[in-house]
Amino acid sequence: MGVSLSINDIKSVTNDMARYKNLDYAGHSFSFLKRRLSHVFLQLKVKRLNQFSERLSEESFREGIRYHMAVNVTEMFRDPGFWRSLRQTVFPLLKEKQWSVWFPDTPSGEEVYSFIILLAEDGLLENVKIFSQHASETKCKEIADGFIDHKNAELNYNNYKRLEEADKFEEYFLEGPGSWTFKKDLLVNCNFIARSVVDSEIDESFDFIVFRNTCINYTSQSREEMLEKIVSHLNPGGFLALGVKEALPSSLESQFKPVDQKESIYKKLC
Amino acid sequence: MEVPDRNFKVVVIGGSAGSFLVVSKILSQLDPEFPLPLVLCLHRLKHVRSGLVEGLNMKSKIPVVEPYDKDKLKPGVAMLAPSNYHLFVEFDSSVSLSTEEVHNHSRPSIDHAFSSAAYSFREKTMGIILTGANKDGAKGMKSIHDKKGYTIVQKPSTCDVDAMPQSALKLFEPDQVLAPEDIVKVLNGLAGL
Repeated sequence: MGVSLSINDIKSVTNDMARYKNLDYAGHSFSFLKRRLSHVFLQLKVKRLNQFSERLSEESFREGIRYHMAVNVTEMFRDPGFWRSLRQTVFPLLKEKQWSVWFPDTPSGEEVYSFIILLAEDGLLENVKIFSQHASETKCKEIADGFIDHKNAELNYNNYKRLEEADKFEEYFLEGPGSWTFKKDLLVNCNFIARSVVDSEIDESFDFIVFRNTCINYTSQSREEMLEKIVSHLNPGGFLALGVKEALPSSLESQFKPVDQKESIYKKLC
Repeated sequence: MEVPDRNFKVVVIGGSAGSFLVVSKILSQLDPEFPLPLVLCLHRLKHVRSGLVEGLNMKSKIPVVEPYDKDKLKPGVAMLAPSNYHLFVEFDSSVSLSTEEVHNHSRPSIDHAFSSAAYSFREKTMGIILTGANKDGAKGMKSIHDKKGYTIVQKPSTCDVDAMPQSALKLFEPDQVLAPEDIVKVLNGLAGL
């Protein structure tokens, strides 16, 4: 049985957490925090609120929070229609120049791996430099090491087959006893950075930003502020991908034109 | 069959196997002036994004939409939880979507939709659980019951698969156990916000 957190408990816990690097979750929606903190308490075997607050001084405990707060559960080629559209609308432009692509908050490696597989199949892998962020160093290392949940293998394969006529899926993985890893030689153009999207103060700008299904965990206001901050790092003429059930905030509509509204792919106006 | 004399803020309907026909029947007989927001959380194929909302709209007397994240509930509009997303009802009458872990092998999870509505609107929530093949929704219905909301379970003898209603009936005593035609009568008797 997990710890039942009241509204005040959640406010108190998030305030305490925000004092530490990469632990500011104050912009997340209350319902998300309630569910996710319950999950964290369970995973880290915390039984009392004061125990949680006391252990915040331990870096290993804070790292455990970062790891488990993230929604590390997705699947490769989630929404095959999105990937199909991406290939048709954005990929032709990748042939023209070197692109930098930013995944500001990669919940697991699966979005990055999916992107890389499509690039490899279209012979575009050398044209792209990828920057992928996650608040947890442990998770970041797992992604950089190609770790993938073996339980999702069939689901991932079926999504791939919905998208792709070629049957090369297994070529991208190394199969070990009870585990799969994404081949590391496919990750040579990737930089994996342990950094929270909230704490990101970066100077770089990018040609393509993939930020799918992360902002749905924020409050409406924080979501808008976060997206404004994220797209300030998108070059004019660059592309933005959001989750298929995320609308572009009205405050940003004048800066973008939809490339594929159904799949939430937008182009930043020059 | 009785119509509760209460001003509800939301009606949430959950169902799984066999529920498409029941929901379609309810929507086709609903008063076009139905005065409350309706949330539909039905188990569906996670990789099939289209078809269900269009199918339900064919006969429905009120619009059925798949919401975007943070869309607001609207009186007289049915919101269908999108495939492969959980749907949560928030305090501010918006809905949040989430890609968090599957629950009872399901995303969307009926438990999550029911529980979030109960948490946000307490006694002003009506939950209706229909035919279905697993236990998802039973605990969520109990949450509505525990928060003094109003609960209706589809009469098991009228279900294609009665596992879902039976799971709910094992956990608590609902306000009513009704056949689909009586569920429609209750809904059409409800007052507005």
